[in-house]
Amino acid sequence: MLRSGNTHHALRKLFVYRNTVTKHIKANSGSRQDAEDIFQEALIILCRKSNEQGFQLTSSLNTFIFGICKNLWRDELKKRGGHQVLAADHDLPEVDDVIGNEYKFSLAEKALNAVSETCRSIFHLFYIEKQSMLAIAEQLGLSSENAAKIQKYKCLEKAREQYVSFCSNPQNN
Amino acid sequence: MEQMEIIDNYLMGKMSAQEEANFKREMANDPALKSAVEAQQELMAGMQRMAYRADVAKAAKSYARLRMMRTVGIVVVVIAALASAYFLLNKTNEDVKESNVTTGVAIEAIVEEIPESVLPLQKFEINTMADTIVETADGIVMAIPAGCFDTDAKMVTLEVREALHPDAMMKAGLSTMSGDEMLETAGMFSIEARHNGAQLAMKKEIIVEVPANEIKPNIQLFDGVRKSDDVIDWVNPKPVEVYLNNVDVKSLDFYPPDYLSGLKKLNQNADDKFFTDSLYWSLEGGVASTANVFAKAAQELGGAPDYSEMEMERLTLDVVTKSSPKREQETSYKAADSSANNILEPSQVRTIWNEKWNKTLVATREFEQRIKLMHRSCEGGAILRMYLERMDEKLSVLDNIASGMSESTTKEFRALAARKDGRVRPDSSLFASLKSYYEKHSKIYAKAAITARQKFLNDNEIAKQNAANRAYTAGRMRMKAENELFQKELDLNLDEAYRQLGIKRVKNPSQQRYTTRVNRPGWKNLDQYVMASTSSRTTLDYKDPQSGKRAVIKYDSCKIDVNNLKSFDKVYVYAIPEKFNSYVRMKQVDSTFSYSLNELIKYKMMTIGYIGETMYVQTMDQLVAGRHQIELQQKPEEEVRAIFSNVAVNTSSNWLLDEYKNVRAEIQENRRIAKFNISEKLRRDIWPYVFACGSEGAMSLPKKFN
Repeated sequence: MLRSGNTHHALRKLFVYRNTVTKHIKANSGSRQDAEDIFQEALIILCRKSNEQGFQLTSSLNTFIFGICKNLWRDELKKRGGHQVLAADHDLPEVDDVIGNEYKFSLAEKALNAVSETCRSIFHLFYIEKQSMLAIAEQLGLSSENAAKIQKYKCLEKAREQYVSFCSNPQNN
Repeated sequence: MEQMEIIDNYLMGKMSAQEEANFKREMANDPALKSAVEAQQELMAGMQRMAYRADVAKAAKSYARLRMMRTVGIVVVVIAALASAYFLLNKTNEDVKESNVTTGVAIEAIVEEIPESVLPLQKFEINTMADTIVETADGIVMAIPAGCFDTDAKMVTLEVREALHPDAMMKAGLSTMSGDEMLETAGMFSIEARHNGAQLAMKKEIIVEVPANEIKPNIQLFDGVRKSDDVIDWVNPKPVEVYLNNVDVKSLDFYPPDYLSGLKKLNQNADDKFFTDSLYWSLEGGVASTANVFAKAAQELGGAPDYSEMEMERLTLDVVTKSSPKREQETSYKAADSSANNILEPSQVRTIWNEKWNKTLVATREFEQRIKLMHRSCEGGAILRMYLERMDEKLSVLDNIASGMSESTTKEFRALAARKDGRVRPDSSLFASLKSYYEKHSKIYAKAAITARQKFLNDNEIAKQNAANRAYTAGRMRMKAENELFQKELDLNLDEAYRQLGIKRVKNPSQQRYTTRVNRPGWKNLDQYVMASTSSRTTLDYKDPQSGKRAVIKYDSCKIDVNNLKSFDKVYVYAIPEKFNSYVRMKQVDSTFSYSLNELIKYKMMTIGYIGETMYVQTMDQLVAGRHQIELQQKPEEEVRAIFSNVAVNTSSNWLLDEYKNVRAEIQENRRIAKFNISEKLRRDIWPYVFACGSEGAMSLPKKFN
């Protein structure tokens, strides 16, 4: 369903799993808010993966989501330190890869959050909604298609700089 | 920049197969390009995350679930009742009271009768040693703690039936009656745990989440009682939290507290909602502008019967003085504008007094009480805005704030706050849209009310102008007719006088020839005498000084008395000379109509009386000198028209018809003015009841509604 485009409906269905996740995280020194964050992160990952070519679930959706949440929480605990560290769950090797990659992407997301709102609008319209530069120029009130292109170029440059600095200093984040 | 576009094309799959292959080769040989592509790809993934994050947050928000806890009970039925309440029903509990046991059995019996195909039984195997989450087909989620059931068995069977949608409930024959009232239900469900067929009691609570697209306020738990006729009656509602009961907002009274009783005192129909509404909305503009409009209207009207312009001003001052007693009168009049800004305006009341506000705090009996107080307060408008902005808070909290906003109502709001009234639970999106709705429509209504009022006054102005024009035209027409008649009569009299004197009449003897000598002065004298006689309608008796002959033309007085003259709105008596295409209105002195008849002319008489639109007519074919008593008879309009054409048979123009139309218009105008005066007077009379800001009204606090 996630691939079919009715993302909103599909996502609502997925919230059925939230309780299980919450329970697990609360049982492992997390708060309700932690659980909410982890669960939503897992859904974001699932959404992204499901639109990736060649992605196939080798386990049930339930297992996949729960696995991701468990591992994300384990990483989070590790980061926070001081707490007991949960044993790694190696039932789902794919989950570790997914999380490893996703960590990079979350840095990219942070880099994007550091650029201006206009830049984010341009990115969203171009990369997500796949609109033409001409249409984007009109929507954002830019004088021409070329102006929009230049603007997008500058934005991407800025985002890339940010991203590179985040990647070289991941500890600061 | 060009490179970036190429990378875009590559990553977004916009390249042809050939281009792609070339690009890949290039990448393999150029590590810098490769890392640029990767960075860009990762940024794109970041963008996707960003987009999905928004989606996920949205979904999380809309996944509104109602949370309910129950310490004991296995069979649970949930219903949104009356004002959308939910309720639980418990069963098979050891500590349960007798009535509940009966209830449980009753429900059980009914549930048993429902065929599997209608309401399928959903079974779940539960491990009693672990916490378990169960989700039903329709999305009810239950959290069952370990050791929930009173059993030593490791596995138990959970049996669930659910009827969350009206069609399922109806098919299953689950009734939704509470006493004689229909319950609006959001759903029912039942849960049972069994081990080897035996029902199990509960030791711990189950958390039940029922999906709800829109969380309805006022959650209540009901017990079910089976009645003799196989109907379940839902009774004994127990609030989960203390929520306010929603009622239909239209059933509430948001008028100023003294408005309806004031209308009754003024002998108006206070039960006619349409009338009371439009009168109230028409008072938009508050103290200052309303008073100004009155003053203006009073001026135009030359003062209505009971209120002079002076009184209007005094009335304004009264209120203003009350609202700011310490100020000087002169300045306080100006202060009306600023203090008026915060009183509760009709447009504000109108905005919240409609269905859109059902299921919100506004649609509660408790809020009605607050509105009454806001009308009393000089800060009512601001207080209302405060309540509406914070509708999701407890009413008692808002009461406390309100008590500090206006001195005149501090005590009353404190008393209300002391009751610790709760809140309704507004759906957040509904609430937000209501807020913007309120802001928008309050302005629109205010503008509409003032515009409508302005139009009313303008229409009055136009009607007045039209009536004046018409009266002017009619007057000129009448004057013209009378002038014509005079000319013709003069002509006739001159002819007759000359004939009697035996002199040939020369028309217009000297008009164009005043330089020539007047050698026959007698003619001139005669002309003057006849003219004087005709215009004064007195008998001509002229002796020619030269020939000694006499000319006599007699005028005789004719008087007409109309029976019951006073009972008519208007009465006109017309003398209609047969010879001429003309008429004359007989002069009315006190109750007698009189005219001097020329002996040379035969007259008809026609009298028309009006009572409202109804016409009363009397005619005489030959009007002779002397005194006549006549009685008017009611005639339908067609007959009157026929009489007109009969009377005016010799006339080519339909002057009588015009006259009739003019009189009708005059009467209508008089009635319109009377109506206008009445409505203006009513507005003025009711006004102190509506804008009672700061008055010492002995408003007793209304009883608490439950």
